[in-house]
Amino acid sequence: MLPNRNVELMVIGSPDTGGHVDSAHSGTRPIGKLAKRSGTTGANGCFYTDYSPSHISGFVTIEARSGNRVGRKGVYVGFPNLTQLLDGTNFRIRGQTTAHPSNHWGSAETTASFPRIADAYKNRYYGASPMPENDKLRVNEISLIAGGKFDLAAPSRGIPIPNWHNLNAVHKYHREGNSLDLRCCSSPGQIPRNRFEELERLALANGATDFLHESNPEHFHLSFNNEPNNISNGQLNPIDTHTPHSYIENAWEGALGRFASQNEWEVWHDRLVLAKSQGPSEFLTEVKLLQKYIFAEYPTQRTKEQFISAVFLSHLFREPTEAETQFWLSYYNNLPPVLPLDRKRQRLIDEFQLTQEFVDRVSAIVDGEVMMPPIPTPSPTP
Amino acid sequence: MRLALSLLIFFTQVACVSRAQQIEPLLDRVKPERKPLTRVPVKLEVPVNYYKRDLDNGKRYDHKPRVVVVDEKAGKYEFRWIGFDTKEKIIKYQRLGAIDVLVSAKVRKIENGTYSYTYTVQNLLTSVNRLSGFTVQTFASVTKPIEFDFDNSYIGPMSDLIPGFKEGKWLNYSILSSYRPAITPGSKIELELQSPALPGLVGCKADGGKFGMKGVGEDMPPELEKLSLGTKDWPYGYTIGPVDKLTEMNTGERSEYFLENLPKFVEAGWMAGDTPKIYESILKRGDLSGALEQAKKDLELGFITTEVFHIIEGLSS
Repeated sequence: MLPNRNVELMVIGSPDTGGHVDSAHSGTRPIGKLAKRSGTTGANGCFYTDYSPSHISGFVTIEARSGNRVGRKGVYVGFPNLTQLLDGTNFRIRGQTTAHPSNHWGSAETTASFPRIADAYKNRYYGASPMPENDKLRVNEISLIAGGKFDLAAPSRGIPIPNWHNLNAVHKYHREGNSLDLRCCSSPGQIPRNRFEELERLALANGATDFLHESNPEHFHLSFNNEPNNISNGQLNPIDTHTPHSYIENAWEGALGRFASQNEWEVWHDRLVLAKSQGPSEFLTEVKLLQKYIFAEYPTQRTKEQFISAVFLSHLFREPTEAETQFWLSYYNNLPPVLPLDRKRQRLIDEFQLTQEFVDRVSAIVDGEVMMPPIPTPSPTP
Repeated sequence: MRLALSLLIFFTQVACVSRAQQIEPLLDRVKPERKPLTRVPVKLEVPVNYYKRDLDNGKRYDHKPRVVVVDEKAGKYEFRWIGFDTKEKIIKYQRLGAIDVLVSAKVRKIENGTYSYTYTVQNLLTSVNRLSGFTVQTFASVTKPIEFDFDNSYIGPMSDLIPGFKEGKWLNYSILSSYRPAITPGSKIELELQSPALPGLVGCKADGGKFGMKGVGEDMPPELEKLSLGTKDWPYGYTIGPVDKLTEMNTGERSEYFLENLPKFVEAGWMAGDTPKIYESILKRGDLSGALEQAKKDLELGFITTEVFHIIEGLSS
């Protein structure tokens, strides 16, 4: 690349990757965001920006255009190195759906340990005889091929087909390949109740660190967390450490319940990064302005309590306690009645931004980029 | 006159005992006391940093995961969080390492050159939970754990994928809650293992309480799920078990094996005071039969435990 050239970037999602079949989902596949979609190359001919992946795994392509030249870079979003559990001698996998045709991907530990549990179970109850097909253990789900959010449909909860963001999705977790659901209480795969405790011990002896007897529908949930997982192996930012990039994202969500648009994000990211380079007080001022900008859109019809909750979520990324709600309600109610709604809200925000917790939260924001896991070798096709 | 009498007694003893034993009257002979398995200190805490939960439209909420200590001594806790239905969810969790256990072992030779290892696993009165399992390490290609109550127990190998169980082959004796009489604090159980391999120093662990948990209809947040310890906090210590390599060792190597492990015998409470010095003195000369003679006497007098005796007995065979 040459210096001082305009560059435009975009993120292109790859349908039917990460274990999700897009056509069997409702809504739009989240593909993550770029901190900046356009800019000018520097003296070294490079243009830098951050990419923040979504909670849905899969491949995305970052496309860069400069003049008539186009470059593309593939990014793999997900948990690397999951391996597939296939039918074993003494167990069967099940639960595949149109939306998630391959859902038995687990950590090496999970996929190595479960067959041992099934074999031990068989040896205990069937000895040298083969297990009847219907008695073989049934594994419902582990994780998708690249982990990430497993947005399972839940017809009984009003989710007839998976939605990328669904509230009532059954599997909020099962993201890292460490959790496995085992059918227990209906045929095939039924396990007699008088074997439950022994199965617990047998699972424990074979590496399970959790053994939960779940209801609705009744099943066992096993976890295999004997090794530290790779969620934060020194490459990823600590979960609660924020960069300007992630602060903007969280502030928008907390106040308005939506992500910042790409344009909003770019503008405010530039402003925050610049202010941060100028010093702590400049940065604090800019963050306050960001919050003011966001709350200008806050719906007028919301109650005071909802507003206070949104202020907490947007500024501190947490809900207020009951006492805190009461405190700020009292503050709000004592404002001059003649003040219009927007002025009252802004006065509360101004006061809130004087709190030490907010100042500490802002001063704890670090420089840096959102890191991504290394790109793995091509994954096997499900 | 008293001095002269003492000297006479001393010289009489010296004249009648082996060279190694000549120093014995000058040593501090202490009767050892087996030590309970070592408990693993545990503090369950939710990490300060955790992912907030996703709702629809990308919004998140703080589900406030936390751990409530219900009974520290019994290892009982509650995992609590705010569920997707905004109600508090509680899962009761019991870690398995909250138990005090004393293990002793004996070995006898049975038919066909096989050794029978008997472990007496005592749930101490300082415990509050029933004993749920005993796990012993082996280094032998052939082992046969003996069933003690098929319907109310489970005996099987521990997976070598689990940290803490990767070395050797570990055998787990699980005592189900239906086993009667339950191994409550103050009671004990005898468990048996057979193997053609000679007895050597091995590890052992024990656990108590109930492993399984009752779910609440939604997945437990991972930051709580990861607090569950599985086998990580099981109390651990030493005992004796079958070790193949001992059979192939020559006299010098066997003596060396014993000497190398002397500090661990002391650590386990199998010998104390100056007793190790006696065996050091004997075995530095490779005198296994001398060590066996000493061990027979010391076992009778209570200066060594059965574990030390059986290791020497095996090594000198």
